[in-house]
Amino acid sequence: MTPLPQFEIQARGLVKRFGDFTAVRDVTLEIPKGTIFGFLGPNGSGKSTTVKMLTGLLQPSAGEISVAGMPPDPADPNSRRAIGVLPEGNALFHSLTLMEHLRLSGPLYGLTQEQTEGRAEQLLNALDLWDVRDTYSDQASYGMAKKCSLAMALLHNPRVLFLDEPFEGIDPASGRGIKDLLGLLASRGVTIFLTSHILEIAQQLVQSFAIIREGQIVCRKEMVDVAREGRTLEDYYFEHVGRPEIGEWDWLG
Amino acid sequence: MANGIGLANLLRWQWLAYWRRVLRGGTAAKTNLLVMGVLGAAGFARYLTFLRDVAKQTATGSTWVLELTLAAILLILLQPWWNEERLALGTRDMARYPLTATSRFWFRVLSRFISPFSWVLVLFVWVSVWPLFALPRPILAMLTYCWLATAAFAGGLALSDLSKTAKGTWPARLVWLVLAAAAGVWWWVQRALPSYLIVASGRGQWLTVIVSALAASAAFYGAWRTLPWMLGQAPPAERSRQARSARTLTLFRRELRLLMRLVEVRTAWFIYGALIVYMATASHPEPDALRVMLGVLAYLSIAVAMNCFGLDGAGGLDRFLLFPLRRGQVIAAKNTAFAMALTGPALPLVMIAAWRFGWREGTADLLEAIALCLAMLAWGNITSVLRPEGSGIGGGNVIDQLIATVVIGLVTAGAIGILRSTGNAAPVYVFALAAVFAALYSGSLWWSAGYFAREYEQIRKALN
Repeated sequence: MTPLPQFEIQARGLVKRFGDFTAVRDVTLEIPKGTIFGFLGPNGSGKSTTVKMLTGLLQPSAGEISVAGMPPDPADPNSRRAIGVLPEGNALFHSLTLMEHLRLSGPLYGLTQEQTEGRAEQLLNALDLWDVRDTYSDQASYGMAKKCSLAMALLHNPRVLFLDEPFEGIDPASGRGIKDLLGLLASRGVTIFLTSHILEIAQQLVQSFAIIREGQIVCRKEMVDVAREGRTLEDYYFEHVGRPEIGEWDWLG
Repeated sequence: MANGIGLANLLRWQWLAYWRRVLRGGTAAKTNLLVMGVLGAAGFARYLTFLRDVAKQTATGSTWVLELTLAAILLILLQPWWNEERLALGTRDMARYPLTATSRFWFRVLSRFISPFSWVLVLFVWVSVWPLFALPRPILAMLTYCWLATAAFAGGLALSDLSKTAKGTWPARLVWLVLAAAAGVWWWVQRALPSYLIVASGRGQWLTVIVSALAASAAFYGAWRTLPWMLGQAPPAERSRQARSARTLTLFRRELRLLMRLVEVRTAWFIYGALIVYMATASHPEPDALRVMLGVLAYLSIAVAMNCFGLDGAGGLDRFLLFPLRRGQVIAAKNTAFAMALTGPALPLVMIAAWRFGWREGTADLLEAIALCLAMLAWGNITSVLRPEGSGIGGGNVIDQLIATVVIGLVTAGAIGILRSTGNAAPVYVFALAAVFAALYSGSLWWSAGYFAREYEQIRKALN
């Protein structure tokens, strides 16, 4: 095997099998530094499984991965420091408040108490969570929990961000704030890998994208090329994923 | 960042989250802790007197009770005795943080010692060295005991890590099977429990110290290696299966899977296993031992019966309502799973009892087990809708559970007593008794299903 070239995120021949079922088959990705990359696809197409493999939360059945120049090994602290993850399901802890989640995370990434408090305040304000910072995670709304998990992903200033459905359940004002924040991060060299079902947001935000269907990448495009062709991301999405036939529905209504 | 800082920080939050969960758990959680404290203190005092007697017996050269006690302790340590699911910060959740393998390992180990339950357990483990002083070489015996305790604890950790992954579930089961088979073969050949190694060391056999140290090293290495492996593996998935026609059957299977994950159910299975071994191998098994243990099993099971919606929570309750099921079907599916998981294993026991004590005794035991099960379900159905708790299936009030056990035990024992006083053989009495308990259960099912339909909002609120 030749060594993987220096892209910020790179996967080659990624496969994930669960028994007889192959969730991800032969996925190859190359994402340069400072890019916002959209990973799109229908439910159950293998998006979250791919994110889990790229972040080291799941071991691939086959293939190679390099994130920030190293394999995403959960046992390697350097690999963990390099990435920030907004995982599927948010992964918050019972009986801790939103603010306490950030207080827990900061020192684990080597931040001092002052740094943690300062960054936490800034993040919670930006994500409109400051007034509800003392809410327990199990009492927070879905959107609040999602934003808290996003704040945890950003707190330590990672090189690469993996965001699984960051706009799902988020109110429009916060969504706008998150978009601006992600744009700023990318302009400063942070690489962002996001999955989303909201094609309008993805269209405005990403610089390149891939569409995955039944575990395989069926389309890979730069947004510059999409614009040049006078098409939209949505056009590509439905071209490759398909659109369900509405049919007659005699029995409905 | 130094490892220690990360580890200390994590443990601090684990501690805070644990106690906050207790304090936020409402009156039941606090009462439970208090009651467990009182029971633990009383049990500890009784255990000390028991150990004193064991020490005296050991001094006379009879070590059977000592071996049995130590074997029980080792088996308890081998179990995943503090469910990781009950901790706020799980090992898997730590995968995203930049922790070293050492920090992760010690976090996993030390998190087990957050709850007062574990402190009591550690206390029991430590005071159990007392009778070892009655052996000729107590230091050697203690060394072996420490090694074997470490081996059991680390082995339990490794196996629980393995079983929390899709790929490791079957290997873990295989290891359990091999361990059980090895213990069985050892028993068959030597007529001794594995804890005999401790006694043998106390009698001056150095080799047993070395063997137990090797076992501890192997188990410790296993626990060390399985943890990072676990982090990269998928958890056991709820495999999507083909749709089956019977909805209640599907629900029943789901309930059974949920129940089989509970420590209460695993402990009950362990007790059933121990009882089966005792009944099958003891030269003069005591019929009353079976009844006493059925009482203990009833207490273990009652918490599960009394809060049957505890694991579902408010979201699960909503889901039940969205399914095209009648309320009675939901409760009946839960009841069937309970009967299968907690009283099903009593059947082989009853058969062995019939073999050892005669069919008359076996029939009475079978009747007692069925009556106990029906009575527990009848009581449990009513409390599940009247006093649901959102803190897990065993999260109900311990006092309620104790009272229920005593009342149900007395009613069942009374009924069986009446049956025996009538000569035990008249089928009409057997059927009459079965009919009474069946009616009790059916009535509770009918009533609780109605209450569930009427007071859904209240139940949902309590579970939230």
